[in-house]
Formats: sequence, C-alpha cells, structure tokens
Amino acid sequence: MQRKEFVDPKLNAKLGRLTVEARSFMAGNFTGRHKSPHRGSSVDFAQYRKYVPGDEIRHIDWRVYGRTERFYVKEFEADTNLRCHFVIDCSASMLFEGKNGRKIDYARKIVAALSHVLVSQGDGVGLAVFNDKLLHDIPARTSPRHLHAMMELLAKVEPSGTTDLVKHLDELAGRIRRRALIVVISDLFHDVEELCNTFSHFSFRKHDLAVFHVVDRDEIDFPIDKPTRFVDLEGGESIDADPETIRQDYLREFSAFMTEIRAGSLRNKADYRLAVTDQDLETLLGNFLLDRMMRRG
Amino acid sequence: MTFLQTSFLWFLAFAALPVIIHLVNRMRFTQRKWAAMSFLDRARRKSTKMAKLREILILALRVLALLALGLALARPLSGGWLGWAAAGAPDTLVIVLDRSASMTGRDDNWSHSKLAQAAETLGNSAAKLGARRIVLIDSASPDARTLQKAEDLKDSVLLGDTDSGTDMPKLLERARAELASPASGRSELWIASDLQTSSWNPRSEQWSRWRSGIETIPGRPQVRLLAMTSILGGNASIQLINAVETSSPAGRDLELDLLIRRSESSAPVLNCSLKLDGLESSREIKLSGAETRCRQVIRLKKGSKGGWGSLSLPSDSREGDNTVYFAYGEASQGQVAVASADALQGELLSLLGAPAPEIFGVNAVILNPADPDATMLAKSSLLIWNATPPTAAVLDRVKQFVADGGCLLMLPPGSACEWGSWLNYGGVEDARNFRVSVWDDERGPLSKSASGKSLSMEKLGIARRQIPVAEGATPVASFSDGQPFLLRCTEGKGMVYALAAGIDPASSDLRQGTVLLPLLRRLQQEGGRRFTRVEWASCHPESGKQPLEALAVNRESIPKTASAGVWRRGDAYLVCARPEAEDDAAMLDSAEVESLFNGLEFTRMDEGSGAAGASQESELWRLFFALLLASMLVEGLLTLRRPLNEKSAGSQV
Repeated sequence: MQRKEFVDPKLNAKLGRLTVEARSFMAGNFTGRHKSPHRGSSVDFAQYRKYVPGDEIRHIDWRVYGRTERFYVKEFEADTNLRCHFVIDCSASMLFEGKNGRKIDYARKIVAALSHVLVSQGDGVGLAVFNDKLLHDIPARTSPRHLHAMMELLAKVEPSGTTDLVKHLDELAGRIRRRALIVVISDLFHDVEELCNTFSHFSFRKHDLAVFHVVDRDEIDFPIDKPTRFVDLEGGESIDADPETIRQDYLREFSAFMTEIRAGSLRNKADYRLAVTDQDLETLLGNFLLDRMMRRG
Repeated sequence: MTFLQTSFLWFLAFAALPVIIHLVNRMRFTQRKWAAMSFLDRARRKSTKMAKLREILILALRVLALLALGLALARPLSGGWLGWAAAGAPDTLVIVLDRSASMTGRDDNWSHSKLAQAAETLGNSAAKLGARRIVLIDSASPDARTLQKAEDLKDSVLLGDTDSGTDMPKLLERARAELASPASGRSELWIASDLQTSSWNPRSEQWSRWRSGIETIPGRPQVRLLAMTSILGGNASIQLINAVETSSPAGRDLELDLLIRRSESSAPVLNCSLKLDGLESSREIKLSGAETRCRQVIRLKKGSKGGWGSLSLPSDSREGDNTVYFAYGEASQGQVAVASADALQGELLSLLGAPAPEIFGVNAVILNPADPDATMLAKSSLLIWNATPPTAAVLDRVKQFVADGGCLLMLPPGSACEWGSWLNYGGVEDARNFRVSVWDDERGPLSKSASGKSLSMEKLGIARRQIPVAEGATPVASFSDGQPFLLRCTEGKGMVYALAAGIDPASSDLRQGTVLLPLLRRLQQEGGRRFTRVEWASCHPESGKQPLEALAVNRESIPKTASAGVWRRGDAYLVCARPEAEDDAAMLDSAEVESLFNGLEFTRMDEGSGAAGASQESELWRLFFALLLASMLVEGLLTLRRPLNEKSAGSQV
C-alpha cells in the first residue's frame, strides 16, 4: 500500500487543531507539554516542602521563613514530552475486507493521523508491528524524519500469519520502562480474560493505554444469507455453515465478546475505542482527542 | 378425495421445489474469507435444536404452502359421494338408479324419499364431476336414457316414485352393455339402491357373469355404490294376497286376503279405510307380531257389472305401501271340466269340483279325454285331467285353455310319461305310507281357511304316488322326503298344477274331500278370473305400452303403470299392485355386497342416518387457500424474526 493512500492531509489538517493529551504523568526526555511525575522549573507552583540538608539554598522561600521562622522549599511542576508507542496487530485477520476496505488499512490511517498530531506537538512516536512474532519495533522519536520513515514502514507492512497478541503486549509492557502512551490497534480476537490481564500490566506500569478495537461492519451484523464456506484468514481452515441457522448464535457470541472486551478495557483503565471500518475517521479520532483534552481541563 | 381439475395436480410437484432449492443451496457454498472464526465455530456448535427445528419448520411451511396452492387449484371435493377417489371426470358416467317401491320411504330426518335423496346426491355429484356423457338406467324405465345435463337427475318428474320392483342383476347387465360400448371411453358406474335383498337377488347366477363382463371392459370402470340403507321410522304396509269372488244364495262377495306388515315402532292398532265404488268406510285392525293376515269380505251390489276399490292404512313413513287396489267384474265364474279315463273317478271329481251348484253357482261337465269339446273348455275355469296325457291335437286345445287364463290340474296318469312340455311324471311308487309335511298355507290353493285353520294335509293318507318333475316349477306342497306333492307352473295367463297322488282308494284318501274339496274350489276360483274382466298385474314399466285410463293411482309415476292403481283398458280393469317382495325389509349386509362386487374397483358410501350434509360434497379449495395463507403468514413471521434480532444485536455494539 502506498503511503499517500493512508496519510490524509485534510484529516491531518483538521486534527492539527487538537492535541494529544496524556491521561497520566508522562516521563519524557525533553521539556514538553505533558505533566511529569518529577518537580521541575516550570512556572506552575506545585507545593511547599520542608528544607532538608542538601537542598539548594536558593530554593528556600524566604517570605515564608519571615512569617514562620522555618525553612521551606518552594517546588514547581515539571513538564515533559510524551512518547507514544503504536502497537499494530499485523496478523492475517486484519486482512478482513468489508465494504469499506480492509481492517489493516483502517489501522494504518489511525496511526498516520495520530502520529502526525503527536509529532506536530513535539512528542515522540514509535511503532511495534507483530503477528505471532515481533516484525518491527521502532523506538519513539520526535523528528519529522522519523515520522516519515515510520510511515514508509507502515506502508510496507502486510498482514500475515496468526497472532499472539497477549505475549507481545506483555513483552512490550515490560520493555518500555518509562511512562508512555501505548496505542494498541487490533481486532483483539483473543481470549478476553488474558487480554484484560495484559491491559492491567500496562496500567501497573503507569502507562496510558489506548485501545482501538478495529472491526468490520460485516463482522458485527453478519449480513450473509446464503450457505457459505468460511475460510479462516489466519489458518486456512474452513467452516461450512448456513448463516440462517447460526446467525442468532454468532451475533450473540460476537456481541458478548464486544461487551466483555469493552468492560475489561475500562476496568483496566484502558481508553477503549471501537473502530468500525465504516466509521468516519475524523469523528473517531476527534472524539478520542477531545475526550483527553477535556479530561485535562 | 376427488379433484375437479386434475390437471392442476401436476402443480403438486412444485412442492418439492423448496426442498430442492434448500439442498442445492447447501451444496453451492459461497466461499468467503473470515476473521472471526472462533465465534463462527462456537456459533455453529451452539446452533441449537430449536434453530434447526425452525429451519425445518420454515421449509415445511413453504412446501405446505405450495401443496395447498396446488390442491386449491385442483378443486378437491370431500365428505360425500365424490370424496372417494382421486379420479377425474370420466368420459361416460352410467348411473343405475333403484326406483323400486322400497326406495320411496323416508326417515324422520328427511324431507324427501330415499329415491329423491339419492337422485339429489348423484345429481349434485355428477354436476360437479363434469362427465362428458351421463347415461341413466333406472328400474322403472325400459330403456337407458342419456341425460342432457346432470341436474336432470334431480327432476322429480323424471324420477318420480314408483310402486314397481327392481331386478338389479338385470339393470346392471344393461349398464355393463352400456359401459362396454366403444363410445363410452373411460367410464364409471354409479349405483344407488337401498340394497333390498329381494331386488338384488344375490344368489342369481347373473352376478358372476356380470362381474366377468365388467372385468373385460378396457380400463375397468370404477363402481360406486350409494347405499340408502337407513332404517325407516314407524311403518306398516298392506298387501293384497288374493282376491276371490264368491257367490252364495245371500249374494255375491269379494273376498280379499290381506297381509299387513308392521315395524316395531308402528302402532299395533290401525284404522283401515275401505273405498268401494265411491263409498268409504273404515275398520279397525289389530295387529299381532310383525305380520298379520286377515280377510276382508265385501258384499257386492246385485247386478253390478264391475267396479273397483281400495284399502288404505293410515299415513306413516312410507306412503306408497299403505294402499292396495282391487277390482271385480261381472258374476261369471265359469265351470269345472273333468276329463277322466275312469268314469267313476270322473263323477267323483265333478262332484268335488262343483259341489252344490245351486248354492255356489258353479257347474261341472265331464269331457272325453280323447276329444274334449273346445266350446266347453272355453266356458271352463278349471280343467281336471285324470287320464294319460293327451295327444298332440288335444294338447293344443289344453294349452290354449291354459294360455287364456284357465287352470289345469293333472292327476297321476298311472305310468311314467311326459305331460306336454310342462312336466314329466315319474314311475309309480307304492306300498308305502307317504306323508305330506310341507305346504304353503299362507297363499295359494292350500292356504288356510277364512277362519285361520290350516288344511289337514298331514293327515292325508297316500299309499301310491307318481312324482311330477318340471324345471322352473314351484312346489306348493311336498312329501316328508322332499318330493313334490303338488307342483305349480305358470303358462301364459293361466296355471298348471300337478298332483302326485290320485283319488282312487288304492292311491290315497284324497277322495274324502278334506283336502281335495278346498283345493279344487280355489283352483276353480283362480281359473275363474279369466271371466271377470279383471287383470291383475305387478307394477311394471312395460305394462304401460297400451292406452290406459287411470281410475285410481297411488302416485303420479312415469310410466303410469309403475304406480299401483286401477286402470281401465277397454272394457276390462287392470289392477297394478306393488310386488310383495318390496315390503320385505331384508337388506344385503356388507359382506354380501362385497362378495357381489368382488374383484372390481368398488367403493361404497352409506347415506347414513340421513343427515343431509353427509351426502353433499363440499369443495375444499377455500380450506386449502386458507391453509396457503396461514402457511405463508407463519413462514413470514418465522423469517421476519431474523432481521429483527440482527438489528438488536447490532444496536448493542
């Protein structure tokens, strides 16, 4: 797929007026627009703290000393940049194609749009692509050149094979030591309980986890009425079934899965977003960004 | 079940279409790549029995809808005469209708007679069936008739009630001939009858021939029997067994021997109404048991040259059997002629044949057996032949006498011989004590007296006998070994009787007169009818070919003489009576009917207890159309469930 096919300048322009805000403290290398768990030299007052030997004398607030005859040190908030890691499921199931295209293409568009916003605001973006193996792992960087390279890679990615989502997310959670924004883009066809445990892993590590659950409208509605041989995208196995007979149970199963994954994500403090491929991307991402901005105030 | 539009039955084949489409669809899988396989697999495994049941139900409803449509288009009939078979309209429909007197009865639930009920049922059915040609053969018409339209069957004029009898084997043979004609094509035979045993005569040899004939007809026509076997309500019938004119010094009498039958539910006391020459009187008759015999003696006017009358019972469930008619002529009883080889025996016979001529008005003449006077024979009512059989020339005279209505009594000739073409006498058997043990004491020359006493036949001493043998003759009395004592043959208008014992003392004690006197008297009366200008006949359609003037009729029938009544033909009376067998309530049982139609494509429907609706076919297309709509509606509801549920599942997402 060509880069121009999933990088939409118009969408980037529209989203450029918004910012990606972290829901928690971030730990970046540079000064940025996100709150850091550490005290720094910004103009935002943080707190007073009792002086302890070793503190620099210039940080003592003498006015407070004049009133109380005790030494207090005045501390300020530290601002840092954000590092965002995009995690893309590149198993063959992402090749599923409905009326509005393939799921992987929709995932590419999400990554491209959000990356542009993040780099524009000086944050770093990285990319991890995996199926049952880790295919690509690009560390987070802030430069436009890095973004360009990432997009080039994203264009070359072609889904194949099976997936081992839980394993790779766990590895990723352990590998990224500093607080970061983790954006998982996948169809999440995995055991819900295991997946939610993995999400808790991120939460435990103080990461800000966002999950884009990419599904196709056909997978939700199952609008098939003729007897069909369903061929597994990941394994090649097939199931012959009469949709009339199994529709009710399929819909019940799929609906239950969606409900469980949403509930599990929220329970583990993940920012769950259902991304149906026929959904307008501007709306989806706009809501995503606005919600975060409103939370920050 | 019968279908009026059988061509649409082919449409039923389309009922297999949903199943075929279903199977083809199952085989023609559309391949599709799918990601959420785990849900699909779980759904397939969890696909419940209810879902499969629903699928089968939908399929069944679709099949049912097509079946219902096909059946509705084919216009099925059920519940009646035509609801028996799935055959379409035949080319020729031959209807055999029993129009005998027994079919005129009706039970409490009917407003029409059995005949009218049968005609209506068959008429309606034939109209619905739409046969190209309908041929009616009924017992009261000598010829088969081709009906212009099926509704003609219901025409009351065409099929009026009759008092005639039915010879069902003969009718069916006529029907067979009609069915076998090349113009008939595919045909059906419909029979409507009350299965009266006397009409059907199941022992007749004609039945086996008829069955064989039907089996040889190409296509073997379907035989359908509409059995009008419902039991009538309270009914009493009256029959005139015998009518005899007698003379005495007191005047001339008409003796009517009556037989009254009654069903269990009829009244035990009946008011019998007598009409004679315009005058009406009544008499109460007490009935005992199922049959009561009585004698009505009517004093005739002096100098009357003839007249007629009737005896009627009160109205009941069968009107046609409540009246009997009679007529009488001038007082001219004829004489008794005796032709005897033995003069003494001839004298004795003349005395016994015409006792007290001054009282009874009957004389006797003795004729020469070798050359009997033809003039004397013409004036005689009874000829007693006590000699060897006559020569051919004399035999012709005797035959003419019998053909004109005279009564001939033969006595044993003394040796084995042939007596004309009527019978043969066997050899002489003697030196034994023969006894008469069986005789008809209900009717005929050996019947009971007016007071109800039987003749003392069993006391008759017979030492010598000569057995008369004749094909088709009826034994009036028989010896204890079964050999006939008195044999009767019908010849023309007259009767021929043959005795097995002579009157000589060595043969029997007949000469004592206890048996011979009443026997000769009755035979003389029977032969005397030839002079009364009264003709007695059974109601029969063929009697109506000569011009007749109706004096009194039981009903308006076509032909006229199919009704009981009194008619004038020239200067003589014709009295038509209902056959006595028509009052016999015995019917064939199911096994007998089955045996009569054994081996044929035969179906039977009983008219039942007379519920009018039971005999009417009802078109079922509305039912099937409703079934079609119901099937489509339910199928629609079942298939509508799916998108509704889909929407709700999607809305949850």
